[in-house]
Amino acid sequence: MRDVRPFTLAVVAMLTVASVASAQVRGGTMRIGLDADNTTMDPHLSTAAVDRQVFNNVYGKLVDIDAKFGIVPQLAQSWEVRNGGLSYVFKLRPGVKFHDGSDFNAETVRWNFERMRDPQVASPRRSEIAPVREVKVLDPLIVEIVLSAPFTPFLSVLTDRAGMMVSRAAVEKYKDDYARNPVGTGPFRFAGWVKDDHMTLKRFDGYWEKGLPYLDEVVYKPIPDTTVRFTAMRTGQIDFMHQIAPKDVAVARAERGLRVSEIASLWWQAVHLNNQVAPFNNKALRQAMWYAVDRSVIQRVVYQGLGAVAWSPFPPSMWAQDRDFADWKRDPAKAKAKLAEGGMPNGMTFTVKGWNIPTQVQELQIIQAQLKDVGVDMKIELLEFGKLLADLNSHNFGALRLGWSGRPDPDGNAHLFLHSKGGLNRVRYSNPKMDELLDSARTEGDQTKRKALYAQVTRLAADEAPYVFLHHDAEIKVWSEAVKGFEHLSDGMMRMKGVWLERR
Amino acid sequence: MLALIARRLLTTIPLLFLVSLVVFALVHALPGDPAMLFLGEEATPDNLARFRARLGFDRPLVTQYAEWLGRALRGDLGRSLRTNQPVSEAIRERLPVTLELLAAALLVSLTIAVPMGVISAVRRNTGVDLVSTVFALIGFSLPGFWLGIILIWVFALFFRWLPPSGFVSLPSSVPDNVRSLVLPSITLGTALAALVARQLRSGMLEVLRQDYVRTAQAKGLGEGPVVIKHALKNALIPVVTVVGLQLGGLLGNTIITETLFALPGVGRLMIDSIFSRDFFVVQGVILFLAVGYVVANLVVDILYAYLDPRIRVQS
Repeated sequence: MRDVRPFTLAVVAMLTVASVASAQVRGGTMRIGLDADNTTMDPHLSTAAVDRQVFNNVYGKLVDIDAKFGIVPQLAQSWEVRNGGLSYVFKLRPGVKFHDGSDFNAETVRWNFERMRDPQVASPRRSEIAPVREVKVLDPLIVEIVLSAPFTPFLSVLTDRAGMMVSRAAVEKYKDDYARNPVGTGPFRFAGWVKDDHMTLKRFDGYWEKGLPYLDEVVYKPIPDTTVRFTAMRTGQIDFMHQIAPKDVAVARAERGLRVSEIASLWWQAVHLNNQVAPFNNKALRQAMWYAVDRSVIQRVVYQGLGAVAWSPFPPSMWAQDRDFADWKRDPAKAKAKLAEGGMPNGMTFTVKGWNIPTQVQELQIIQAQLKDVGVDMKIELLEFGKLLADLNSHNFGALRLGWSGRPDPDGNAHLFLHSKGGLNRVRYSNPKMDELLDSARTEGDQTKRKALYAQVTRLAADEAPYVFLHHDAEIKVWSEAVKGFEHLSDGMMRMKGVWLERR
Repeated sequence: MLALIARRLLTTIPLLFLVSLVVFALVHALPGDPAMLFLGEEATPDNLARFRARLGFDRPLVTQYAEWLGRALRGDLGRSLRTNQPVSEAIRERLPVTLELLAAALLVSLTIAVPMGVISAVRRNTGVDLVSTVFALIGFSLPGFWLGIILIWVFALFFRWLPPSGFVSLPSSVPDNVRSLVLPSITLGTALAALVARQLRSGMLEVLRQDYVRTAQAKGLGEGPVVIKHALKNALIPVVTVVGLQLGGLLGNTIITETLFALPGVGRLMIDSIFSRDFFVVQGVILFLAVGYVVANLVVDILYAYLDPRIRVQS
């Protein structure tokens, strides 16, 4: 009798494995509802967040991320970092084909980087891979990327569009029309696009991972209105939904046949304070804002308890977040004292610019009420997104409400905004100490040491308050119970490679 | 009649020229830099300058306008900055959706408005008239997007009779095409129905008081023939005007309807292009719609002159 239990367990285990394996159904069409249509199918020219959703299924990347932000192989089987972080040598996967039948190899990688770096192409990727000095083909399947300075986030940059490899043959064939005729090495090939109606991808039979993908087809439907998109989900018109309004999450959870998954995203939301013009060129007045705003009310009311309050650019999903830091709670008395210190004992008036969408309007109204308590009169000016960006980029604001979708490496959430030479430091904040911390964290290879550096960044940014961080959004996806095998990662990408449908 | 058409055509030319100028000026007056939106927020100044130079945005506006107009006259509206698709091709792809939506909305509004206008005029100050008045008031006041969402809730979510969004083209399936247009056409057509019903009611009331109607009644004709044959025909003339005048408004509302119901029409093409500052598409679509509106009005004018001889004489 004593021996039976392990044996039974082994049988049960084998049966479980067998049932999981056999449960994977091949075939079927996955219909995905997106919040907007793709703007282009060329990853080297894309700037819209929604584009990446489709790209991740059409294009292979050198490397990808896993659930814990670890870098995992994709088109590169392995890699080595040499010369103190100045050189990355990638060993490429053999036998990989593009959808048009052309081969993927080291020469393709070199050509892709040259394309991104070519000023004539005017690729938005050019600034992302700015540290790249040279790309050398060492062997048909070995490529070396040489950097001009050590750049620890480099691999993580390659998990997004900068690491996506496009077919040289297709670019040369279609030229300017490549954006409508994309060719990658991903699990699905492009099969048609009726703009603003749907885009169809079909299974790529020559995909390098044998047996994958399971689905025959993926169809993307852009449905801009949130309520209508959610209704399409509830009525079974789509199987998978991107971007749900916080108010609809409770309804989705209660609805039979729907699955809701909520994890921490990479986002931060903040009010940008212009550090070069009055009133916020005065540190005490920026600090007054920091202490006057109660982020927990915003989280409860606007985001319905989803996501988390923010006191730094690092969300809870990131290892860089300093959870010991506590100096971010609302304190009206301290806010008033800071106003007095800044020469405004009787309060002040300023205007904040914001994007005219419901959640942001609500958020600004809550902040407005909280500031009134400490004698500050905040006027709200609502703008269309393009105009808001234009005002941000020309520094035409005193205060401006804007978020950042985040990057897997903490550098991508902080350096751009807090470094005096940061590409998105539109508040023109400048502090040599901050620059030094961010530069060190960028070149440091050891994660524990980097974490300590980012803890200092968090504290310094809270003390000087160039931004008032408000909230980290939740990453929420809704799908039908027929959808199986989806792995939900913080970058929010809907990777369809290992997903199957159980009903057809 | 020919002289009238010729005269109207001649006045159309400067009008269209003015339209092209306004369209170009408006698009270029839009705040927000396309280069910045295309190259991303991290773009370097040198990258931005190169992008602007490549598309000719660095040249004087007058030169840009002259070139654009010159090409537009030859039927070339340029290409999308995003997808490189020719603008005329994009419009041609979307036009059937918008035209079908407009036709369906017109059908819906006339189907509701004509019986309602006639009945409430003939049975004025009764319960029926009151109901129709209330309908007209509500129908005209409701914002289109709100009515659309309510319709989606009721018919797509609660009863599950109709799809909440999406478009099926006529050649691929006739029943599905009709189903996909029911809710959008009601959303778009309700306000017009309300307006036409009111217009028709007052028109009918006036006509019903005319001597020739009394004569018809005196001849012993039944109520049906008098109302339909003698009164309605004459009361419809101002309705044609109203519908013609409302065409522009209807076209504007297709933008909201198409966005709400995720229909791939011209209106959605325009609004998406405005948000992404795809200048050539915005210019092309607005110019196209303006020309369409001018031509439609011309047709209504000519039709009107044909229907009512008095107008021909006066002009």
